[in-house]
Amino acid sequence: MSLIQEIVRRVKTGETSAVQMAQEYLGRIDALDGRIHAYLQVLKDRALSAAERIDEKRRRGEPVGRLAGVPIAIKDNMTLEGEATTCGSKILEGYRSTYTATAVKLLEAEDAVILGKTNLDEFAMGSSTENSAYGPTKNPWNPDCVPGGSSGGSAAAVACGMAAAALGSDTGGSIRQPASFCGVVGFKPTYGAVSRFGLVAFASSLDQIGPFAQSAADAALLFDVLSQADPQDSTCQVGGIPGGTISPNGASRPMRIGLPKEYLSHEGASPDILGAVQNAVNVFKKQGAVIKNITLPNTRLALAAYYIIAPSEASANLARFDGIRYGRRVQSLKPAPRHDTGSKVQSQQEESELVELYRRSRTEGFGAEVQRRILLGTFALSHGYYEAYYGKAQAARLAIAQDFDRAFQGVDFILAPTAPTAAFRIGEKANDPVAMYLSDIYTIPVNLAGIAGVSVPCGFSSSGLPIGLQILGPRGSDRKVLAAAGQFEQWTSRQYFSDPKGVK
Amino acid sequence: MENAKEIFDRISILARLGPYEERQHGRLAGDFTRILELFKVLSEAPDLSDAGSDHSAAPLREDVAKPSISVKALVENFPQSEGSLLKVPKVIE
Repeated sequence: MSLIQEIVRRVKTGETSAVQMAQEYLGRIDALDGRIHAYLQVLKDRALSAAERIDEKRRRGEPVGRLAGVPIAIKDNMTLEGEATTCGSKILEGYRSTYTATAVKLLEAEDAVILGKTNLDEFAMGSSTENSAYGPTKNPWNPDCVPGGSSGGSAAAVACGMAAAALGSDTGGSIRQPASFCGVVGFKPTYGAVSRFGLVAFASSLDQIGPFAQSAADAALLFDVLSQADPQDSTCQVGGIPGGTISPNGASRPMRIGLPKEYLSHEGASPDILGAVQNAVNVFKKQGAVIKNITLPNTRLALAAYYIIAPSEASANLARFDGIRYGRRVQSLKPAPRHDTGSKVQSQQEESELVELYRRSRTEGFGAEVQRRILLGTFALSHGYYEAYYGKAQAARLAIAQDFDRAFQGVDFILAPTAPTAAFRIGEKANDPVAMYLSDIYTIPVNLAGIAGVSVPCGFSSSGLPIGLQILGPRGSDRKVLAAAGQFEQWTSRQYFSDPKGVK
Repeated sequence: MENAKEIFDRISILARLGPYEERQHGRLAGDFTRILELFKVLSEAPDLSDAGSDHSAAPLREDVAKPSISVKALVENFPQSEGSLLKVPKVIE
């Protein structure tokens, strides 16, 4: 089932108009978002104007794009010319983007309608969307629970039909984990497959933009649109992602599936999760897949490596937000007027006032989790600790990537849980950063290795919350990974997709 | 040898954060110490140096030399300009 193809068909044939489609979704946002808070900004006028332009093109007999009239939400860490981009942070309050992110431009070029910008953990740092300076998003399945994060707004919007699809960003699991918590498909492409130009950087060697959708087929369609070389992003690979092949294993032989023991015997995983993943494995087996037990021995180093590398890059990327170059300046302190006397004392005083302005602007502007990560990153990169922390973390990263390389020599895909638990309650882990970090234990290694991964619904917890199955493939296997997820959906008759019970 | 509190205070200055009120300082410094405990697994790991250097999880595309952007194109891409000059908002009042 492809919701996107159905919308495009209806708009192209004139069965409905793009304006009617936009109004339908805007109406649903009006009705539901007061309870869910998926959106930070609903761009009603912009969406309706875009929809009118699409209808006008159709009336004139001009060709319309592959996403004609499809209402899409974007995470508020991607820029949209003339609109606010907050990154869920107070420090960017009042900032308006001067250009549009390449990924968003590609959607608009195919006649998608951008509905608005969705909530996120501040600067995409978090696993619950509780770290947003604008309040948490609620899980549509149970509003007492988190939607996951950091792209929780995008996942929640797609789960309860407030967008047909959405864009998120995934640095350590920020698309796949909320997709798992909200019962939708969330895809992290191979590193470099989608341009990040216009994505506010968190950890540049890990960040990747990807889609949320109601099916793997929709995610694949969006990926086709998004996966274009971009001269504005030096990591965006030219022709690096092969197109065309949709066969999951690309050959007539049976699909070979790897089951990593490190993911399936983890002490922190709930029995619900392990049971649902085992059932999914049985589905693949029943359909003729060859199941192999594999090992990814350096998985145990992943959390530490990630929480050194990502904060190190974040500390550099966020250095520009100081109240002078970028970001809101603290109100109660202004640099003294400059009367240059050439005095050394005056110069030191001015420097000290400037540094105080930086420190106070950043301390008031950033939330606690962002500050925690900037501190960790500054520490890991500082003199005397660099080799012991950053150097070791990079070596661990390579070892983890090599584990995957070795594994993919013998299997086509790896199956694993997306998260160790279903959605947890709001506030449950808010004061325990280490417990929160462990939410991403199964997704982080994928970012460290730069490979492709999708989360697809595979079951429900004992309390009725969705559970996600992660399907991983080697670099460049994006379309095959999505095809495998699509097959799983078909084999299970989409029984794990349904309307969230927390919203009616 | 610095203790954890001294490290935290030095790092917060380097990171251009703080100064913190006592309660916030205690909480952030406590979290900082707990998270550093997580990292011990790396120092206890066997030698990782044989991981090899020919592998990168985040490969970059080849660098290709191209002519520099022209002043005209640069000015056209800037929100405000005057002739060949770029206009920026006043930041020091």
